[in-house]
Amino acid sequence: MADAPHPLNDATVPDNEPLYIRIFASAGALVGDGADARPMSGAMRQADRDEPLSVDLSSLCTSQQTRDRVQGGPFHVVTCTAGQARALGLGVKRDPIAEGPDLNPAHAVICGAREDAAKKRTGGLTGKELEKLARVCRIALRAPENPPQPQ
Amino acid sequence: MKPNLATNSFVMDPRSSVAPGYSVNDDIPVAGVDPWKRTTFHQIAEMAQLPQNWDGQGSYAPRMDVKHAAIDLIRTIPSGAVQVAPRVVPVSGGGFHFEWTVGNRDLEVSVERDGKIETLRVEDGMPLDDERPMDLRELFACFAWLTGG
Repeated sequence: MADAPHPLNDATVPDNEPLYIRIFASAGALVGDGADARPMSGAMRQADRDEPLSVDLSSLCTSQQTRDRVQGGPFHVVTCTAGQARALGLGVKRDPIAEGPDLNPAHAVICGAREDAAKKRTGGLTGKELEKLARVCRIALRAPENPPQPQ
Repeated sequence: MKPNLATNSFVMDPRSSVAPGYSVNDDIPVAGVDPWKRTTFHQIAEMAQLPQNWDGQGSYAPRMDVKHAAIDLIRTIPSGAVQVAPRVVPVSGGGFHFEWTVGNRDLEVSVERDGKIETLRVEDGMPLDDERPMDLRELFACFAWLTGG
């Protein structure tokens, strides 16, 4: 359990607020069955590991909106609460996207302790942090179709 | 034996009677390999055909050299070092992520888009150390840890 809040934490996001995280629905993306299924940490990795993890605030959108927000996929949506993320020493911060083609007022980020070569925090999550976060997340909404088949 | 980067040397052939679903070729022979490896090769091949922006973040499918690095990694794991197939997912940015579970231990191995290998060991749900680059010799020692050796 973390002692001090992450420096990038936003206390206006209440601990009990569920956060939605979109993951690609490959065959191995979920571990376990039913409502207890959780994401593989690799499925939550972002292209740029130095970027905080993108999430949506459930108070401002539905899990279906999170799943259907972007092209590509299919996608599952997994969830944890802001409090669960903070208990791992992570920060939860609002990051609304107010203009442009990716308009998303529900957007927020989970920030970690990842450092660059100069030992400066980037906001990204370390491998350990991502692993711990994946293990507290649970499935919220499954993809509407089977994972992609060979072309 | 090095992968042939100039060609797609891992070819799907459903008519193959030696190893159904695969062609046996000089670059990457699959006949006689552990069954879990054949399954994993299949999954790698599938993920290498993902369309652009498969993840909604603009990622392309893993490049040919990354695919071959992943296949080479799996192929060179000593026979019998592990008996279970890993879970496999594509990683945004163009890599692969493998996860083996044996009892209360997990071994996660990522092949990054630059071809480097990183690992993370987990015991009783707790990561033991942060991800770090490894060479194959160190990686094989991790499989001994995974199976309690």
